[in-house]
Amino acid sequence: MSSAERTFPNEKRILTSAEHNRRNARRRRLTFLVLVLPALVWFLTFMLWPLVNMFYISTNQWDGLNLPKKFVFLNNFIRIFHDPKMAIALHNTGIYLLVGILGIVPFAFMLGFFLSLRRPGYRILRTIFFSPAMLSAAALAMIFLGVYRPDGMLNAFLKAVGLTAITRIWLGNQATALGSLIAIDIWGGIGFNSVLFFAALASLPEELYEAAMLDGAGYWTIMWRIAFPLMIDFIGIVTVLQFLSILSGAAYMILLTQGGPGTSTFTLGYYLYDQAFLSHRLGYSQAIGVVVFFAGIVGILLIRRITSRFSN
Amino acid sequence: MNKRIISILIALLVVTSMALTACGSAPTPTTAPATAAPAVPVLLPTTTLPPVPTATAAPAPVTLTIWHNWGPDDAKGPAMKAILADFMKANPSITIKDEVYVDADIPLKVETASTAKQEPDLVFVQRVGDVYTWTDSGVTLPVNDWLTQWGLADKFKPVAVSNYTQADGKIQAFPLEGYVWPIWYNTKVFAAAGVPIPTTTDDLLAAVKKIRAAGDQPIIASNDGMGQYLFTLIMQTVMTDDEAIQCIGKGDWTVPDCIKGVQLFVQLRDAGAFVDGVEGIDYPTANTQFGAGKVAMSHFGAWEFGAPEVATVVPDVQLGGFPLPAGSPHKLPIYYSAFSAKGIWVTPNGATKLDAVKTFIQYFYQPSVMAQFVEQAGMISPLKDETVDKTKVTPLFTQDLSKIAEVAETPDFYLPPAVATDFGRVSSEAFTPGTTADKILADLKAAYAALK
Amino acid sequence: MQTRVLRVARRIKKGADLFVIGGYFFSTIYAALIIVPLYFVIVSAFKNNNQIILTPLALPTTLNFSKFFQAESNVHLLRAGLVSAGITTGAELLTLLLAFPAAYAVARIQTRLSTLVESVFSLGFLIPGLAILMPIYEMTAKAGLLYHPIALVILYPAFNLPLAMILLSGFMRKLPRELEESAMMDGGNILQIIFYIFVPICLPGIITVLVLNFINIWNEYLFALILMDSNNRTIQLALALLRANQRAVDFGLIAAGVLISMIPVYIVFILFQDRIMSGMLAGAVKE
Repeated sequence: MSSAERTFPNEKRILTSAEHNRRNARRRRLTFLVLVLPALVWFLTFMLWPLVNMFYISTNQWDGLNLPKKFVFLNNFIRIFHDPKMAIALHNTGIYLLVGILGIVPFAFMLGFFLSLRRPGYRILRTIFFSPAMLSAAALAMIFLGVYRPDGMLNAFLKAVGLTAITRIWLGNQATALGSLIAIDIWGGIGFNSVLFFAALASLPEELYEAAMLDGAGYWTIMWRIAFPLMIDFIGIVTVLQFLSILSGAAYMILLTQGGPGTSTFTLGYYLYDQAFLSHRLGYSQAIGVVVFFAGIVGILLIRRITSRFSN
Repeated sequence: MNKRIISILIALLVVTSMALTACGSAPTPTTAPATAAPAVPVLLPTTTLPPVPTATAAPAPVTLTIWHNWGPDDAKGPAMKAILADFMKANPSITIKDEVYVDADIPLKVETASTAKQEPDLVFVQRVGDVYTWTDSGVTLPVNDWLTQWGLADKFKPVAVSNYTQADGKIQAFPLEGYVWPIWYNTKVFAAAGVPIPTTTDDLLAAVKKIRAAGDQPIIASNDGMGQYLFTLIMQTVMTDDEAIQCIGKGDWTVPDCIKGVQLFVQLRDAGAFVDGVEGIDYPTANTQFGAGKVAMSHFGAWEFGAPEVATVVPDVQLGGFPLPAGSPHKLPIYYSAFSAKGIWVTPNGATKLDAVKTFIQYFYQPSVMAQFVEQAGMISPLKDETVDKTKVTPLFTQDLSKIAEVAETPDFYLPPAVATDFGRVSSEAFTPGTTADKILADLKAAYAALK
Repeated sequence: MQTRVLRVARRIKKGADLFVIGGYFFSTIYAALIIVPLYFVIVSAFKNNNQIILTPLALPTTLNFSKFFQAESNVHLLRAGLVSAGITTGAELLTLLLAFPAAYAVARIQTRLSTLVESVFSLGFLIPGLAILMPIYEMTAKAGLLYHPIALVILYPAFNLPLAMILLSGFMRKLPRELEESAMMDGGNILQIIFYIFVPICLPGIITVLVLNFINIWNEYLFALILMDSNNRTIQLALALLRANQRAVDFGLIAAGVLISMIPVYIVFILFQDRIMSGMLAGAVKE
């Protein structure tokens, strides 16, 4: 007789391993639900209903908060398809994403790794690097107006080092406006994300590096051969966060260029804001929101696919 | 840093937050009752009869909520504060609860509040953008009846009232803040260049050459929402107001004079009429640079008359309109002037407290009250009776434009809100050197295509 | 043997030194790129518009603190700061209370619902704030919480849950299985495990979440604008009022206000940054 089937008179029957697993699974699920439910309820109340609302309104023509809605089914989406401004917005946003993510994530990782070595002064550096993230929109607008003005800090610096030929009207020139805005994101993004990477890398045990160094590896090798693979998931998270922030971002466009000059800084996020708050085509703006939503999903899946390929 | 300090800090913050949220603000009855509690205190419970109001009984206390942007930093802030205080002293039964918000945020706040029937009673806001649609959508109520009933109809300047009158005759709000938006000519700079103040385009082009030769810059503008008004002003030197409504208002850019307007702008730009780097200048920089005294012309409104940035050059400034090209339909150089800068709008909530609103409006529009705004903030009064203490008014305010310039219709009244941002972007690329007139026209056509 | 080790050690040291030198070099350049604009804000708080625009980086001629006082008196900046502090503290605590157990469940409990729940939370990132403004306003009004800071304390955690979940569950996933097993063998139940074991270990993650949320909440503008009135302004609303109309801008005043509003953020960051570095994980595993 196997022990699983032995029974004692006054005790409950001992379960088979399969039944044991099932009961465990049920108990686990129950525990899971109990732990997750408060957060889930909170989230669904404030995010899900409005999200559904967004999809619903995108099928309407709604020209003002106090004006009536008119159901137009997929008209808004058909218009998006034919909308030249949409193509421009997608193009600009694509450039922004590419340059932005490539300009932020690798360098933030490297800086974060350097910080995690905890060399003297790393605390000060960390605080400095994190500073851009702490600035609010008002502060950033003021700072970068001062930087990008024709007689502002950037041009003054270039003149001082003899690079007068490179000076430009940064925000007024169609060729440089978008790049100038992306530079702001990179400026802040490297610092902010480097501190995030530091937090993640700091939890790695020091012995890991020591062992590698005894085998003759330098920091550069350690960074890419050891830290990088261990951090792949986190790098993916950071990339996704940056991606979503740029995808729907409109702050610098609103504060500094209003999508201009011409249409050089006209992005998806700004288009959404413009249609919702400036042109008052609320239905159309929600349709753009739907596009942003699905673009986000596609982006997340893509980034996940890439990182999972790396970690293999 | 140890755990103890952190926990003490957290405890402190928690206590503070609790204290704040407790005394932070039970909403007053007029702003946010969960149920629609009336602003006037309810009558006594049904078992006792309410007191019968007699002719000499004090009126029931009322609170009027007013939203505006004339805070302490605004030139009109102190005057507003004093006037409200005086009003409450003179009318003890009416309490004014005024809330200051950023200008640009007020329309959104009002509209969101309106959908939940929580809007303020009176709104002080400019008649630009989506505020236009408020009368039609019911966010605010037309004031035609009240103008006549409260004896104000003939106290206002006709142009002030017509600035707020829709095509269907509804008057959207009580006109309040008027402005002039002239061209500022720095006579010293012109003297140094040896040229007179130009009134024609040819004069202007000649002046530009001489001013630059003397080491100064001609016209400063900002490449943003404010500079857009110079863009339209220059174009309008070639058009009649009706033609302006055709192209800027309705998007018909095939009108020959409209095309000429764009070409004139490009011609001036390419001749160096604007300061170097104009496409990157923002409004505060424009102020400062003009105030530094080496720029010949600028385009600032009356709100700048008392600004500290330009104070040093004000004694040298002569106001005027923009020079006209040959064959212009206008007789004198043109400038903008209107009353759309601020109006008092009455909401459905306000309409439930009509007596209090009436008392307030009648008080507010007394010439002596208006005079305070005129004297302290350079506002143009909407009233016919403009008795002010001339000694208190900023010097530029006293310059009489009527003989040397004429008013052109500001785009505020016909530029469709749906096109406004696109128009602004075209305006900013128009200031950028290298943009051809054809490109500008093409982009304008595209901007208005969205109207269809 | 000895010399070989020495040679390798020297080579490692050289390689390490090169990397560290390079690290310091680029860090310094980048730090300078950040410090210069911050310096610009700081000195601007003591200047007038002309000086700010014409000589942005020059030291102020006088140390005139009047703009700081003006910023406070014009818009009651300090009071707004207290309101923001209260809202932030409440929202942070609530976020942690909600997110931590949920993150634990998603990361550590084997059940098929895990991925589903995680995806649901990830959706949160994709929702543009503008889209949900109106429904939330109506909800708040119906609940009678309009213009009461509690409304923001309840609302903000919902916005911050996705990020908190991702960061916390990411941290927790990397922890070894042994943690629970050793606790269960000692007879602990789920709540004890979470509280006594995971919270201390995940402190770096918790701090990260706290700091990030702090910034999000402190800098949030749109919902604070719509849901609060002028008595309950948050600090960003008060700051924005320093340029109440777009025509006359006193940059010095704004700079002073910005500096005041950033002090709490800096304090929080500096206070907590030590916690981020604690290598508690190493200690726990050794045990």
